[in-house]
Amino acid sequence: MAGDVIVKIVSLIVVGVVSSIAALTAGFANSNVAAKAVESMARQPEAKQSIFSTLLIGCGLVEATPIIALVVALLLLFANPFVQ
Amino acid sequence: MHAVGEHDVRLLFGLKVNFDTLMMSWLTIAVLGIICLIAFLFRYQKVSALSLKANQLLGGKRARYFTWAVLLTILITNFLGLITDSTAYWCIAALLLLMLILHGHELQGALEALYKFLKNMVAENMPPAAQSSFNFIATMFIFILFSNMVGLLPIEGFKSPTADVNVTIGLALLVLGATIYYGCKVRGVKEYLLSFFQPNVVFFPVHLIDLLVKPISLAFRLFGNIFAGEVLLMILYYLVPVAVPTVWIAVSIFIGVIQAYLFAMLSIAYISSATNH
Repeated sequence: MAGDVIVKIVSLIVVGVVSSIAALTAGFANSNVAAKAVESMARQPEAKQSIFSTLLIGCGLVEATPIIALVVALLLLFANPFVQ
Repeated sequence: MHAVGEHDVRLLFGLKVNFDTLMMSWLTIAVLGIICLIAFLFRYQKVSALSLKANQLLGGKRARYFTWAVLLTILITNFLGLITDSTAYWCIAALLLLMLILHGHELQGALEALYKFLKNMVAENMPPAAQSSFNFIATMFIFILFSNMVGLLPIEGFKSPTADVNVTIGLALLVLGATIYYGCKVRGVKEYLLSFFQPNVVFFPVHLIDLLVKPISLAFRLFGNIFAGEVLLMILYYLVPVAVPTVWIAVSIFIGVIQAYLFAMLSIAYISSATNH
């Protein structure tokens, strides 16, 4: 097989692995943040607005690294520097 | 599907620039200027007769009007994938003209609400000595907000400026500069530089990496969110041009607002932590 085909096959497998690990990590991390936020909102309902904006900031922070992994996977899929 | 991460690179004053990103960021600034101009021109207008007539025709309640507007928007955006070039321009121009006629008198109020929100955010979270960074934070927030939205319009060749990693790294370098500037301004240059060696001289690499990594993470968070959203939108237009991109455009609007708020909030946190350690 030509070297190009091997690179394509391997990068395709790697795209699948990286995307699923990124999705797994993002799911677990976001669920932790949201669970703690819901629990503290139930404990003190008058702080709901402040807790909600902290929830959004927390989700944005923890989703940063899985999204960087997703961008790496997208780069391998669409703009692969080792192909052509 | 044409190339996804590809840019139109040209030479400008001897430097290579991504010319499509440059044009889109100028367009964002132009859109902001036009919005401010329209708010200024319409500033003391009363509710127009046409707006009152439309409200009366639709049953006379603001809530019903809003529901019709949302349903109409969903109906139109369901078929965005089938619109070709010139009809997209005309559709968007017609929608904007309609919104201007019906809601032009409310635009100044909306901009004032945005200003008040940003002023509150800066006033609550920053020490009084660093309040002069409000201009910088507010400009950055509004620029990121509008440039996250521009890439969602169905016009061919539109993509967000923040979907280019150069733009987000530029913004992060501005935040780094602001951190160092406000640290030196509030605490004095000597005390700020000494704080890098503060518990012990060995902590210098830790503080240095802490200073450098935070803006870089800001840059890549914003870039990753917006770029991945646009790539997925392109894939959805290719696979299922009807009805499904609407859902993803709605999610993308939400994510764009959240990421702009997050960028501003985190840069406020970094600047205020540089001023009062």
